[in-house]
Amino acid sequence: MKDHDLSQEIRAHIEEKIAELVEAGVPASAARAQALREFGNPTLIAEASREVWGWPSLDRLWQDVRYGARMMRRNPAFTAVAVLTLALGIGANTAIFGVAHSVLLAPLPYPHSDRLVFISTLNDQVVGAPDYFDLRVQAQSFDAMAAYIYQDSNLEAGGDAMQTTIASLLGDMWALTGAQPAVGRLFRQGETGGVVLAYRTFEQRFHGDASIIGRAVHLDGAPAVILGVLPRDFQFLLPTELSLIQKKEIEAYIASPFTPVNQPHAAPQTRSVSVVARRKPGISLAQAQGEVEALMARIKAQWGYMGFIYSQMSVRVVPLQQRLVQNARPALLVLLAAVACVLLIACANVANLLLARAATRQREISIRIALGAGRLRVARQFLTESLMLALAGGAAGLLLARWGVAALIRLGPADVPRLNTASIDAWVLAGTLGLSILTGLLFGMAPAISFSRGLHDTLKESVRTTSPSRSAQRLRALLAAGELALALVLLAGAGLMVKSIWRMNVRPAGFDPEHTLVMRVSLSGERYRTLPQKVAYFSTVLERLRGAPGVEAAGVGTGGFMGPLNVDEIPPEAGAPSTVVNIRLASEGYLGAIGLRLMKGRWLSDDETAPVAVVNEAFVRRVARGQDPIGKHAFRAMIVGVVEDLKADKLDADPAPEIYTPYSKSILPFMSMDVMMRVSGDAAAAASGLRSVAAETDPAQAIYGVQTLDRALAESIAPRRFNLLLLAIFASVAVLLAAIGIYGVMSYTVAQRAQEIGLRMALGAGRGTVVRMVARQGMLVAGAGISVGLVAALGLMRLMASLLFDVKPSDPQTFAAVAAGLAGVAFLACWLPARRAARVDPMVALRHE
Amino acid sequence: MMVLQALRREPLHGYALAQFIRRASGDLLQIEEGSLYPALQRMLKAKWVSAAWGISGTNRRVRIYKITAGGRKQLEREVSSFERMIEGVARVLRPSQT
Repeated sequence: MKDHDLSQEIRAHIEEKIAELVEAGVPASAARAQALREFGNPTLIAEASREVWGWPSLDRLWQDVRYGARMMRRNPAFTAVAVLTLALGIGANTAIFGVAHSVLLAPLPYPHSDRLVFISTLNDQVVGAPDYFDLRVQAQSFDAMAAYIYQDSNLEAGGDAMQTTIASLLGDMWALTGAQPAVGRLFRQGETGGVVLAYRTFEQRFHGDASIIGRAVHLDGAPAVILGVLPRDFQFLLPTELSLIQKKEIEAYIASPFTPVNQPHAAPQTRSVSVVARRKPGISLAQAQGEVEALMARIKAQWGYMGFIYSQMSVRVVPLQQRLVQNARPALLVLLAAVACVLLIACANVANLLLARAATRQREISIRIALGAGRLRVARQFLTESLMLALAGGAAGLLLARWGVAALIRLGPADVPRLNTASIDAWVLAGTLGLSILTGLLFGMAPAISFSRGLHDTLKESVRTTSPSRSAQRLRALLAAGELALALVLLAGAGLMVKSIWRMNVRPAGFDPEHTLVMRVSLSGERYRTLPQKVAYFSTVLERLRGAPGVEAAGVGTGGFMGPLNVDEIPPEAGAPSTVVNIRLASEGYLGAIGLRLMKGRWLSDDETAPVAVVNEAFVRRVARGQDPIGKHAFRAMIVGVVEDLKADKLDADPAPEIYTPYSKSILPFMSMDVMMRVSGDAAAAASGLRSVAAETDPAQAIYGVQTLDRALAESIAPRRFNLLLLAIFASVAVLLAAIGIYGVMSYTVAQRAQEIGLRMALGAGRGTVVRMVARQGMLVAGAGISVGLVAALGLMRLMASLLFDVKPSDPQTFAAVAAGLAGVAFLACWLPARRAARVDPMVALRHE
Repeated sequence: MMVLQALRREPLHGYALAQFIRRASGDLLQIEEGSLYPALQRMLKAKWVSAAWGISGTNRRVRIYKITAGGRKQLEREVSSFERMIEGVARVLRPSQT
């Protein structure tokens, strides 16, 4: 309607003018021309008039979008490559961000989770149980405090025994976590003999049958009753240090039998617990920390005879969330940085693609400018197209990310808390959208800028010489070099982690984890109350095992005890605290079964008459201060031998000082033992035999986790291997993209210089010369990128130090290998176009003139 | 401003308006006649003028523009600010004249 009015009006205007001019004596044809001349361009004016009413910027945007869509459709290969590259970059970022968001940032699913703290006085892990009871009564900074320990127990229901991971709780744990029962009820504080099941246990082991409430069961041989079930979404997210062969998820909860009476300060064998508490509103972390420190100082003064424990004491009150993710955090941050690098490389690559295409579109753009398009309008057109690519990439990336998060959850190590809750929520979506737009602006800038210069001349030039300006060419080389630099940083990170894992797997001769089977046996019930009863059980098992075919050696041993020890004859340096030593119980066959080498003296036997002990080399270095310990005393026993260090628990820990004592004379209480067995031939096949021997000895005892030591050790570094896997994937993507980048630049250069090369060859340049010339140019770019990358990597790798093991962040070997490898890839990427250049037929190239 | 000034005297159609402005500025302003139309549309949108179809002196169907109350107010504002500007220019010029 309006449009129609307007054109009619304009037509009327012009007709009137013509009429007037004709009246004034101007010939009709000339009159029309003059009228139009003086009026201006009717179409443009009509458009400008209409724009007054509309949303001109929106209109133009829609126009740009339609135009962009047309360009994308016309170049499906280009579009596919660009979108795919971006999808890879954005998808990886979204997935890692999604995980980092739920693991690091999302609040814990507990009431007032911001006020929850983790309290430790020893080793950044635990509080002595007697101290916990004192703190709980005396500390005023908290409105709730609770403690827990994880334990493996034998839960027997209806004649069916099963090893179960249990959290044994003290204090206000239900109040702290806000837990409500889904079925039945929860136990009250100190109400022992009641079991509360996790939902998954209820569902899988008891088939979701609510009639089990009130059913009698046996827990480690003692009668108990199932009281209730926790809701499906309840998560027990409290810090735990996973040890060898341990399940990951809490399957049931019981009230801890600990009381101030059975865990008194004066007893030598009290237990340690993990402690969480909720600060009162208005109490700061520092205030809470101060109060706990003061209370612990008082306890220390009062019970000074336990001084050796308290000499190691360091009070830490930290936010629960921070404590929970302290192991996962550095790795996630490094991964976030790594994916950001990948995205930057993807951006550079797409920018390079766009630049190359911009060169071919130069005439089109010049014509548009000549027809009246503003410079700004053209730049905006480019940015619109970039944003469209980025958003398409983002959408595809989101699909990739969904798949990626699922894969991360499935493959991720168990010690990343809340990994299973990772998902792509609104936050992550918003992040992806923002990232896509940022990405589009980032790589869209390059062609937009390259067009703000030197356009006028293009139209004047003939088709043949439409080559990009030197500045655009330089920009492309710069981008390729930048990609290589980033790729090198990623490769260096991955390289250092590979070397870490390699260092972890360096093992002493004789240690043969592939042929060593481990099985944990947990004794429970009335028949195993005393040490002789336990020893009798294990002796029987070991004897039967030694008689089994293929078994070369069998023994039992256990860790799990530690304490600050000295050699009586060698006092520690004045003022220095005692060193914490792992105390292991072992049988005579343990040495041979695990493949431990005796360095000096003798090993333990199963029928020692006097208290004896064997120490490892780390003990000699750090506790005996390098002196010969044989014949001296420690841990109320005489040291009779020295064995080599062995990483039998965790691969990624430095060997700790250890002392071995005969399990048959143990003064420490133990409920479970690791049965070790060296077999010849197929270890997996022997596993079932081992299981049946143990079952024959006493079917009521739960056996679990029969696996080769190799597998068990590999599990101990699963998080590191997982990080390495991800980093390696990102680094390979980065190298691939960077190689494509430099290949693209070189191919393009060669295509541009085809005539020049043809001319050179016509004038007598050999193929070798041409290849060298082109390759040299490419390697110059590569060399610059790699050098910059090396410097950047040297600076950045220090941030990764906590993820490495026995490798310096500036390890020269790794850096040299990585740089050489990348240079090799870059060379290949340059050499291919160079060879193509050498195949240029001089006649064909020159005929193009 | 000139358009509003012209319309205050009498309602005009587009061509007449263009002629008026040309004469009023003494043929000094060499603007395209067409550029009048986007300006008119802006004023219509701002409700400073209203338009209605009518018949011109030459018997053509044309749109006749009329100033509105809002347009008058706007004109007064612009005139006064324009006068202030002229005044300012005059003051600046004066010292050099003396």
